[in-house]
Amino acid sequence: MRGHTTALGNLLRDRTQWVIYLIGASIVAIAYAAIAIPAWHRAATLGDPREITGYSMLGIMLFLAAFNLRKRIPMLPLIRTRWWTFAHICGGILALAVFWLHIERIWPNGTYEQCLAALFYLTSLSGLFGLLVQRLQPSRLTQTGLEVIFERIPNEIARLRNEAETLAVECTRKTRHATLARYFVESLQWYFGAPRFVASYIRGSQTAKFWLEQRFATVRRYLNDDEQQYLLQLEALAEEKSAIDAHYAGQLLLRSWLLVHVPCVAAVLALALWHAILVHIYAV
Amino acid sequence: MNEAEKFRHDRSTYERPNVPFRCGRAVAWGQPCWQGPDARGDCGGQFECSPTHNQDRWECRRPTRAGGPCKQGPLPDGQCCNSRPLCQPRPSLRRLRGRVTLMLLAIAAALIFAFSNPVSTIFPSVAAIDPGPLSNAHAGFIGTDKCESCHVGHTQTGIAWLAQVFEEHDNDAKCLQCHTFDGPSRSAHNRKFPNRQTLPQPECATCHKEHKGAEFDLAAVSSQVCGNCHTQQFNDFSSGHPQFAAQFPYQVPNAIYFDHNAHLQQHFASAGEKAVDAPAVAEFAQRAKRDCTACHEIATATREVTPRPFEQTCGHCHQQQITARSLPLLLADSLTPASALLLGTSDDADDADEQVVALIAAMAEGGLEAFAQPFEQWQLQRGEKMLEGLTSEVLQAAAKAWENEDDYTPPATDIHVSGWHAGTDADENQSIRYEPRGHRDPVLKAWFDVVADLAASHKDAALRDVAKQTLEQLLDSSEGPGACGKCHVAGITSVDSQGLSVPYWGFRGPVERRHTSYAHAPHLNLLGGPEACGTCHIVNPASNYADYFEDPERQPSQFMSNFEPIVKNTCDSCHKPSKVRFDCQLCHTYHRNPSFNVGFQIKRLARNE
Repeated sequence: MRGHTTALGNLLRDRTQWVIYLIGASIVAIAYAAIAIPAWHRAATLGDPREITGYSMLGIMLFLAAFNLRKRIPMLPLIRTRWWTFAHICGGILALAVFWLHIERIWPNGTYEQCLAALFYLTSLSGLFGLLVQRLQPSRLTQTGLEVIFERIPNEIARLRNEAETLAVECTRKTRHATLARYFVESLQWYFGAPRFVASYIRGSQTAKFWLEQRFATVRRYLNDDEQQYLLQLEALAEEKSAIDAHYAGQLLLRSWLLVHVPCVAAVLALALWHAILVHIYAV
Repeated sequence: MNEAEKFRHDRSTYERPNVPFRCGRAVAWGQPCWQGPDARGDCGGQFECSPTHNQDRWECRRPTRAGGPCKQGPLPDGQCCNSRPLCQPRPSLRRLRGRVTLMLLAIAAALIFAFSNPVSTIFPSVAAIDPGPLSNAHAGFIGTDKCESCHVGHTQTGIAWLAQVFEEHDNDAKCLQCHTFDGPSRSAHNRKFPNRQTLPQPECATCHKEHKGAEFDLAAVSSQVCGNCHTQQFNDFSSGHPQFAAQFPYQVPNAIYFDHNAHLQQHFASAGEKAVDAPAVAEFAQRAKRDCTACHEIATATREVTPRPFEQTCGHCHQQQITARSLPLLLADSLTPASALLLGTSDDADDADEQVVALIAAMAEGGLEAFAQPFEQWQLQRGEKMLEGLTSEVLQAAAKAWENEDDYTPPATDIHVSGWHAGTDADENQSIRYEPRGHRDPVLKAWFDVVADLAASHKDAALRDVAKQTLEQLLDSSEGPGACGKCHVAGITSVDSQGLSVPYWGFRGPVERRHTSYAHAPHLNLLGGPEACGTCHIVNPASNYADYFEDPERQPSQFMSNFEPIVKNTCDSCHKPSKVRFDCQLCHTYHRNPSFNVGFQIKRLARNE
């Protein structure tokens, strides 16, 4: 019964997802038509369509940038962030389409326009990358079975390291054998020292798991029964550390793409405003 | 972690994602202190707590989440007993993002400020006002003025330059410093459309987009742009273009009477047999029969296909006819059409004999002076050309002989350079006559021009009738002088809408279509050379081509070409999607006679210097 409920839930969720995609695509298409048709009409009546597409572009970019402001003032009841994100994604796709409509080609001619276009493309690509990351990483993080706030990760790593070191010392004291402690110092101390295998977690590979299995299998044969108990506890801590490392890698990726996206947005807006000024001085 | 209890307020620090700094120990993956950095980024964890003074005792204030009050307690001076070295806090990701954003903005602003000065010549290629390379057509003419050559807004600097954002600029005026057209330059098609007051007035930049690169075609305009102004709207040639006019492109009657049917079917065929002793004529006739370029020049043809010169075409057969027919000015005993015209009478008038006697007497006495009074009567401005080469000596000698009722015999030394002859003609008559030396004879042409002009527009109706009668006699295809009327009958008698004579001696040219162009040469190259003319120009054997020329009224509506009209299907069998170009600009030109004016010449001189 529970299996059937899950399947139905997945089906409904998938269907809802597709409906949202369809609504998004329709909004983008309608908005694009609302810009392209007057622009086409302006061109057909011997006017300059770039006035329409240019100012539309500027408006779209300001709207997209407003998302950042919205996040800075979460206390105001300005529609749920979820819908802002949805509108931001639709607006981003629309901006790319209107940009091509505006410049009438993929790559402009002038040096200044090329800088503007390069920054715009970088912004768009970083945005698409961010969208991709936001779609993929959360499910991966859920699969770790752990929840941790990014800012608390250093605390957690320090705690795990302390617990592991305490276990190693206690094992030596109680069993009178230093095998596990020596092995910890030689091999596992590095692992507990900081987040490891970050690139591997971003790629989604299992390098850390294999590394740990190999290390523990190597040392297990040299330990007596009492030490084996401590080793099992160490393994549990290492697994927890592995999950935290996965969180660190995923959450770092979820945050760091904005390091490219947000500065580019600001620069694009500045250059676009100056571009509009130049157009009014020279072309109008 | 998943254990909610672990994060109770008294067990863990409340981490905020928007704190600007991170503990330096956390950055090095050590155990961060519970205080964390302050708002300025300074380490806040040198001591584990800040003891408070309570009733002469210092109390430890270490919070529960950091382990609670310590056993040792504060030092006697109130300082915490647990001190640590200061850490070096680092900016959080959020703060780092803000810094990068500000840095990028600053770089952008600095670059704009550095390279946007409109009078700066430093690094012009990366200037923030450089919108891309000019087309080849303009690149060579901007000279030292550069942007100012075309942009009115570039003349100012500083704030004044920036203030032009709020001003309207007439950039077209700069274009028109070099470019000029027939008709109003700023109007659509350089024409006025009184019935279309709402037509938009396009700017030059509407169609001619600059800064798109050296190879960009400045004149290229999409067909949709054309279709939107025209009352009959359509997308392109293949879909919706109206049918060509009836009889296109042969609506205007030919100035020269040349019957293609008769020549192709009869004359060229028989020319070979007639000219057995003239192989060049036979060869030409054979070639002309199968190859239109024997008579028509196509190498340099655009829309107009000019016939080759007379000597290379018609002259092969008709040269002798011209020289064989002289213009008799006067017979010893009677008037000729020419002399009758000069005397303002008819050659069969009752008093013709008396007038001949009087004219001969006047010639004998004054030579050419005898014609002064007639020329004055007609108010002729071109009389000298009509009698060019005729000398008083010849006239007097002949007239005196005729007064004595003798025949005039010219001296043996008379080599007849001028074309004027006196004495016995081929019909054994004593006459003064002009023998044309060939095609385009200037004296004969002057006679036809003058007489046609008089016949069309002389203010005296009686004299006009005399001129008409004379013109008819001169144009007679079987006897007229030079046989000019045989081919030029329609051209010579052409009059304009005012009734004034406008003779077309040569090829009249195609109908004036100011916005249409056509190139014959590439079509022939593609279709298979000169013999492919028949693809479009199909001879119509049933045409009544001669009717128009043989009717004295010569109504243009009566004209029927030797060829079938060209219809739209002739063109759109090739000019259609997936085959050959079919956009408006292929056949139509927007401007009327575009050319350059003084501004261009000045720029060109400056460029050459």
